[in-house]
Amino acid sequence: MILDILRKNDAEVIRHDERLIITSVPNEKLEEVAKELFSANCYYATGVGVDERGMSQGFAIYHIFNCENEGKYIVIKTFARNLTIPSITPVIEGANWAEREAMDMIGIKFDGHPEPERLILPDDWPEGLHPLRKDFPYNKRPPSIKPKSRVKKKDPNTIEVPVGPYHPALHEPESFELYIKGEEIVEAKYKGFHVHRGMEKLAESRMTINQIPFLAERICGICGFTHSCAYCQAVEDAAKIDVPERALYIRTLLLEIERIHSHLLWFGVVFHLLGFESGFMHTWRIREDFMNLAEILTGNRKTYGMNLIGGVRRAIDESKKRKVMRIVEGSKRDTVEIFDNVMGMRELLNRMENVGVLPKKEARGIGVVGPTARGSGIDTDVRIDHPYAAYGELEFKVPVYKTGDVLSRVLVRYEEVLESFWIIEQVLDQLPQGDIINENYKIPEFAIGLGATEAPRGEDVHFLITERENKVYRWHPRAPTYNNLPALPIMLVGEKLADAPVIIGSIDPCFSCTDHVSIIDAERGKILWKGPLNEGVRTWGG
Amino acid sequence: MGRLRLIGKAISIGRVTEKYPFAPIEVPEGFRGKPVINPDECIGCSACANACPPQALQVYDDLKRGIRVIHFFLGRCIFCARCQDVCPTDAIRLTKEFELATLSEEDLHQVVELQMVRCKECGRPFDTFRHVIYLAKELPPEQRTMMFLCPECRAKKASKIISFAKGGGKIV
Repeated sequence: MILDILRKNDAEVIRHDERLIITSVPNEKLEEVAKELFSANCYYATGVGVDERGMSQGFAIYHIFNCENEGKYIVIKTFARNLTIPSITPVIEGANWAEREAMDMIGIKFDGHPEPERLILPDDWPEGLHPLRKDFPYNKRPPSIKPKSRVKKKDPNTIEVPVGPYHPALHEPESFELYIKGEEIVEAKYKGFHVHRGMEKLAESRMTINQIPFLAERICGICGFTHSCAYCQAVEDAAKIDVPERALYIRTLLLEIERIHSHLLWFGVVFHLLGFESGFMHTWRIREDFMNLAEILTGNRKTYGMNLIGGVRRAIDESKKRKVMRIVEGSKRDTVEIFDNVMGMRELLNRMENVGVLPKKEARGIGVVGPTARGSGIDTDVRIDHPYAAYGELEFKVPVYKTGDVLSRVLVRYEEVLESFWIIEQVLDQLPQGDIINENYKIPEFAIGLGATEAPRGEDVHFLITERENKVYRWHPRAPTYNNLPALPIMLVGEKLADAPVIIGSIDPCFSCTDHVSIIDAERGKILWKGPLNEGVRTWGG
Repeated sequence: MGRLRLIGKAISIGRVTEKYPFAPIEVPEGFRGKPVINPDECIGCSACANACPPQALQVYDDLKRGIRVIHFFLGRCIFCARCQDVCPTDAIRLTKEFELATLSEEDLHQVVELQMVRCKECGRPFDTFRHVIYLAKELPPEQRTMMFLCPECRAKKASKIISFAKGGGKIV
């Protein structure tokens, strides 16, 4: 099916195996291929712009599609002609950000893009400087320019409000502008990328291939291990490295421990946002056991530091295995007991039922991932669709709910936690003996690799091109929130202002987003509140 | 109903918070805390500096004094223990220490200085004594003659020997 689409459109297949197709599509056929792949149920994962002047000719973009029905990822490479590539955003909405990112960072123009504005670079960054080009030194600091004033159409009912200043205390500062009429949200706007950390440039220019797992782990303070796993898988895929089975099982164990701690943390925060503090305390009490568990197994509560190319760094002996067993057993009983209680609380369920609905069709178009997608009736999970680590040999269910409201996203995560307990039990039961790392490998030059994991928040994709001397030529990680955030305006419009915190929280966007909010009276255009969302809602949400 | 049962649960569990910092807290075996270099064991091979992801460990040569400096800055350290993995003499170890806040920046630096060997031909310092001795153990005795030459002089000498051998013993 996929190959038919590619063949019909003069695509040249560069690599084809059971999990990945890499193909080169001519410039003028790109839109057609994208459209047909999308209607063949392949959703858009991410796009990566690459300055290929060091390896071949000019600039290229790699569009990555996830074809879950066939269990394959498709990488579509298109070279830019005169720095221009036709945009696929008109046919796939999810490509919007990826194309604008390539436009900012590499300087490729996208012909026909509906919204060709800056996404990542700040307004005072000079025109024509693209930081991810290979001739841009990593330590260059260009002088800032006077930003162009953005002239926008004026709506008599609303007023344009600058939001900020931004709060750097949390690692993912974002800002929302909520326009309200009375208590109802009539428009929601999102602005992000305020703290771009330049990790790709750092990795490409200063680090070696075995140092990057530790950088990748620091992409997220909650689900870092899944990032270092995805990175290592990408390198292992590019260099065709066999990872010992024992290492794959240990990775699986830690990935599930991380998922449990992340979901329990999220329950706590959602309960807190709903004003249910005792639920918050109880879930965080259970979570603490998993933080201690991670410390016993890896030497630290967070940032496990366990992954290297080819395997893991620490084995798990019998005494540790028994400790994990004991903690998992107790926590499972505890979690079920707490949730049986919580799910019987009508006043809590009323706050979540039919709130922040994301219909399946919109969810698909944007390409949302993880529990946000599964709560909207999309059956997607990288662990099943593209088995990695030891997931291919384990048994577990993927919960899917159809209603698409906040409650369905809560239920999906709750059932996932129970499945994770079950996965950990299986891993410990079947843990094979043998080596934990394979260090006998050579990194080829300019090989393409793709690593994907199911992070607690959804699909996590790492794209990689290797270089000589144990370096990477291009590394592009895409975290799940990148795909989930564009769905928030759809969820917010038409809801009560008081529900905004829990709706924003329901996609699990690391919660820095609960800060920096303006609440604007849409009729009078007056700013009612600027600052932390919670306090604003307490003051104005009635 | 649910709420009342949660209260019962909370009472049966009791206090879950720790008294820290008013009472000490235990960390498990294998905890990755502050790295410390044992200056007596360090041979100055730079393996740790090559592996260190955040470049908290840096090695540079002070050619004037003939000293190799191994400089560890705790402020950059990410506690990954890669240095401990790659150290051939177990000179750098991660301790269980985690209370690292300090009022003086000096507490965040550890500097180890090692005496360097000067090349017998050109006189330039090129490696530490300890590293040369460490390598000597690995070398067969007939190859140890060139150990005290810097890499450049060693290459020159080796090519002379090879051409001498090729020329049947005559200098060509």
